[in-house]
Amino acid sequence: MSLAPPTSLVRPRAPANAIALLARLAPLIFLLLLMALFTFLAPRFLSSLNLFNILRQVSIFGIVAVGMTFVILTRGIDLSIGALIALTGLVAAVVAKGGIPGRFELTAGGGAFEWYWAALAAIVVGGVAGALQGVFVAKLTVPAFVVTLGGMTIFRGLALIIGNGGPISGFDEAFGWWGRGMVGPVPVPVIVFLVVVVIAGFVLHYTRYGRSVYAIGSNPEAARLCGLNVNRTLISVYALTGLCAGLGGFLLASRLNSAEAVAGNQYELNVIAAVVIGGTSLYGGTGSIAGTVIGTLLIGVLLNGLVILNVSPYVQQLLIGAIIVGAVTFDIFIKKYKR
Amino acid sequence: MIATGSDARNDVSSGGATPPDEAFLDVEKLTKNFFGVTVLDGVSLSIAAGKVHALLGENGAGKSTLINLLSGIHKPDGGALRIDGQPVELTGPNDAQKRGISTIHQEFSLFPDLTVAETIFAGRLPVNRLGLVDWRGIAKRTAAVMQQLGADIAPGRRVADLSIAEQQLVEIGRALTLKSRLIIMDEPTASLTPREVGRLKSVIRSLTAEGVAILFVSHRLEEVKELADSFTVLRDGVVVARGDIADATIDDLVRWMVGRELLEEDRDHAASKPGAVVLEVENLHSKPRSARSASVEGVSFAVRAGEIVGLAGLVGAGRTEIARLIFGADPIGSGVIRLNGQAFRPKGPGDAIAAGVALVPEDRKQQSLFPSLPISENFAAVGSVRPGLFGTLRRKAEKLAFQQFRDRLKLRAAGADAPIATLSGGNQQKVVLARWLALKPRLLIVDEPTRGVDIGAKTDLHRLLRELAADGVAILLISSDLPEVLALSDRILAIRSGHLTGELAGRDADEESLMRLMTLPKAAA
Amino acid sequence: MSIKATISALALAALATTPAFHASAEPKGKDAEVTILVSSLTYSFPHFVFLQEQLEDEAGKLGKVKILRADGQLSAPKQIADIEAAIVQGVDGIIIAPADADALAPAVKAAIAAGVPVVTIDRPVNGVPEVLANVAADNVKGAERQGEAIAAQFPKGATIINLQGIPGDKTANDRNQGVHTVLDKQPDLYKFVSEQTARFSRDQGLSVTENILTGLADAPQVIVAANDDMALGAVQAVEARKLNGKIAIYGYDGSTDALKAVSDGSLAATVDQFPGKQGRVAVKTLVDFIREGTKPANSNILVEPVAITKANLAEAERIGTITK
Repeated sequence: MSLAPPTSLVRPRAPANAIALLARLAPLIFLLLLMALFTFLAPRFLSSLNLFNILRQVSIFGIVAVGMTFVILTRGIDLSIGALIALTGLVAAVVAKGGIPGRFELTAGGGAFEWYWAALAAIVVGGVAGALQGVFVAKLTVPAFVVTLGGMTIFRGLALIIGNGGPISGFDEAFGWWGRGMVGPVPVPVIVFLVVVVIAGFVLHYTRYGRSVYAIGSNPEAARLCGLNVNRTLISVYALTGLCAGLGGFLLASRLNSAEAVAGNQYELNVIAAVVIGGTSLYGGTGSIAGTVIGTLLIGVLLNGLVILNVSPYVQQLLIGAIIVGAVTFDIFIKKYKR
Repeated sequence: MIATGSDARNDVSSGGATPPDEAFLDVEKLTKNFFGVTVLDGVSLSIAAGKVHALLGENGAGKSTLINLLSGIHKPDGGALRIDGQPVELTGPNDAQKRGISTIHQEFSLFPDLTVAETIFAGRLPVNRLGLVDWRGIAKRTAAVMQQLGADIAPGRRVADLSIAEQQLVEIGRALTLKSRLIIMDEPTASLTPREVGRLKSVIRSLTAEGVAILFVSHRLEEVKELADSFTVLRDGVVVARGDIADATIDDLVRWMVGRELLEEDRDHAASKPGAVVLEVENLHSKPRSARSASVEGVSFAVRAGEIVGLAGLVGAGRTEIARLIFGADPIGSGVIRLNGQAFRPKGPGDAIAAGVALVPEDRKQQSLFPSLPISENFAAVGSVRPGLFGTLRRKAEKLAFQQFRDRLKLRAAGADAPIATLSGGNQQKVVLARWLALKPRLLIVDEPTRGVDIGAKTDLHRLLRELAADGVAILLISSDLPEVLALSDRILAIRSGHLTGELAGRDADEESLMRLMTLPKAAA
Repeated sequence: MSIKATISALALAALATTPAFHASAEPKGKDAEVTILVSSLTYSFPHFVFLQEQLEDEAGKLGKVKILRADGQLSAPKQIADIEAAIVQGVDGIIIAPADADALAPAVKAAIAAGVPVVTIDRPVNGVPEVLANVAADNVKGAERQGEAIAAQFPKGATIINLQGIPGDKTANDRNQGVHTVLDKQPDLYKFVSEQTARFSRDQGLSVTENILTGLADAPQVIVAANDDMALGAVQAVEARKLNGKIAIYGYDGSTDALKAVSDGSLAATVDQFPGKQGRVAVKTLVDFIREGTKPANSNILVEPVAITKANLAEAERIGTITK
């Protein structure tokens, strides 16, 4: 080709690039602005103690938000995770206690199990529950909203049956370390969250599996014609979210030293908000783990900052809703402007 | 009289072909920027009542932007519009329609669940004295308009049940009832069968006879040559040539559009030496499905290594369905497929890909592209570069592989990380082709490989297919573009209503003989 | 709903003409078989689960009393539907913990009109004086006991964090009101430094307390919570900050976990509303009336809530459950 490339490619595109960068960083900018505002109003907000507070508080729903990112990337949704956290928390508690005093025993002698069996049981139950929902979504093509809405009620019901409406509390120290322990100044759940983030980020951005998640969310038909196993991948993302909910259920039981059927109530709302604030599109195919982490922090900062400022609980609800809508609008607006 | 280069850019009155006093619409030095990028730069043209003016240019030349400015969707940053000599400013699509400009977009804006009559009067349903919708009057007027267009479409039919050509006629009917004086047609023939193109031509002629002006946008230069009175060629947002169509040859038009000479040559039929049989299909049937989808009924043929076999048929004849059966995208009813002599019954596209079959599907947007992902990810989606341990991606190796194709395909892209949506249709198709070629397929099925692709890219794609055949790849080519099929194929299979109706050697075939096989029942052919 | 309502209206019309179910039904006699519907507010709160267990235990002691369970799921429409169905089934009596004092009044009236005696439990329904009895503990009074316990332990005053229940919920409002009624009498002594909702949940009781403690320059002396779950969450937060022993935490409900915490000193007190006693009294009153026609002396049977501290731990109803 002897001619120069078309003009549209050589013309300066600097403004477009600056906007593109801004669009990518929009959620982060929003987070930093919010943190600056809280620090200005209450300097105590920025203490290391409080920052670890926030991290510890977000780590459990952050873990689930990481799983949810996979689901939303494939154009799905999972409303069942709050209920699944309650169910898996109770499963962990029952295993750790070796049964429920006065009702049933897992083994003949009624002996308790070590924390790792409890954690494993919670994670496995979560994964299986998630995979079952995935089968309905992928193979039977029932809308994810419906499947997981049903799942939400079913898991909550199972949790009530297991706990008979009441809590199961009081675990040994090794069990409690996962929710309440510290490594140096860092709370253990924060470390678990970081590990999950690193693994999920690697899987999503550096493996063939992650690429197929994006491809399926971007265009399921094209993904199928590229030879990707769409059904298997869809089932796996729900299973993955279930695993995360299982881990979350275990950590929550450990942190509260108690598991009960009403735990994790409305977690799904915070989790979905965190993922969407982080720039993951509900239409699938766009998003990142880093974005979800930022979205998670934003929710955590919001809940923490408003309490530190002692804002009235009634007004808080209003502000949280407004800020969530504001953050997502900001993100969408800036992305539109990029085009 | 033709003006090119800087002459062409100047005002219409100084060097234009049409005296301004006859013009319905005058466009003067229109300029449009999108975020600092100038996409239209001082474009002027003039459209006379009762004439067909052709707007030509490669994808990305600025045609769509110009159409959007004329139909009120965007507002110009500079320049002026005059209707009947009076300066106007279009405030929106409705305003444009009121002033007599209707646009028939490439992707129709019809409402699939409405009836033909409702569509034609959408947004302005006439009411009777009681304030109720006057359905009887609407049906009557719809029938009258359809008759004027020579179309036999009942006013009560659902738009979704119409063919693309019929939907187009409904759009034209809507434009007529709006009393439009200028109808802009964006690629109106892209999805039509030859017979439907013929009917559209006669509709256009009868419209112009009644004084309606047409702005005709098309890549099909033979049609332009036949229909248009005058033309404007855009390249990179500026007018590079304009004049009377009678004074320009097709080669001229192509040269202005592309900015370089094209070497469009016919396939050298003597040179091709087909090798061993790669694909063998015996008595293939599709699984019976819904009444509306096309079926495949007892099709048998073979494709050899190094051979390009064309599969010609009207839309809905079962061409695409054959490709999908071989690729494992749809379930096979009965019949045998053999690849390299081995029986082959794919359970899904994954099986076909593993066996060395590649398919470039017909609908790029719906079936090929991942719109939210960058070019590099679109290229690597089939996993042509084997991943490392634990399925980790080898991005460097992928970039390297992409680089090779980028040069070979003359891909024009800013960078591999740019969104695929920033590419023109032709360059998107090149990325899709590169995706499949990286797998080194033994059988390549291409379905409408150059639909919606500009002429420069089309030439590149043709050259590439020839090179692949020369390298020993077996190629099955499906296309509605008969000159394309004729230029590329060693052999051509004609298909009609799910049956093969004949086979022609590439060198003997011409459009007429092929058309007869595609359209007539087997006995009559 | 409307179809159901129509059917039950028809059923009521039919029942009204049946002598056996007439409003002035004769006592069934000693040792007669009795069937009672218990419409609980919900079975997802331990409070009501315990109430139900004790109620059924008492029914077993009385003998030949069959209890039908209906989970109200915190929903008035659900409870109305359950009552309508029970009337049609022909139960001998109904015990109900109403989700809404006004919404359930018509259904309760309809039951009484059909000759089915009703005992309300936990809280009354409004405007139905014909109910046989209302067995309840007053949340405002209970919270006053909570406030008095704080005043007793901190006679010289205290700084207080108040963890409230779900905003807008009646129980949450009553309990908040009770604490304030007592402590606001001496505003110079008792200062509420932070009042936030933790929505009755242990999870939020923990995180909200963490956040409040961070925001305050000085740790408070008292955390008062509108239920035990939030109080136990606060315990976790206080322990994590190594402030245990320095902040007195007050719960409400007398749950098993809370009693355990009171006995080991991590909670200063909880309030027992004696749900088990409520259940026992309710079923006894109802069965006595059905069998022998005896009415209680006062139709409003109030169970006095008691603040449970280490000193009077033995008074707590569920003390027996903590040793297991």
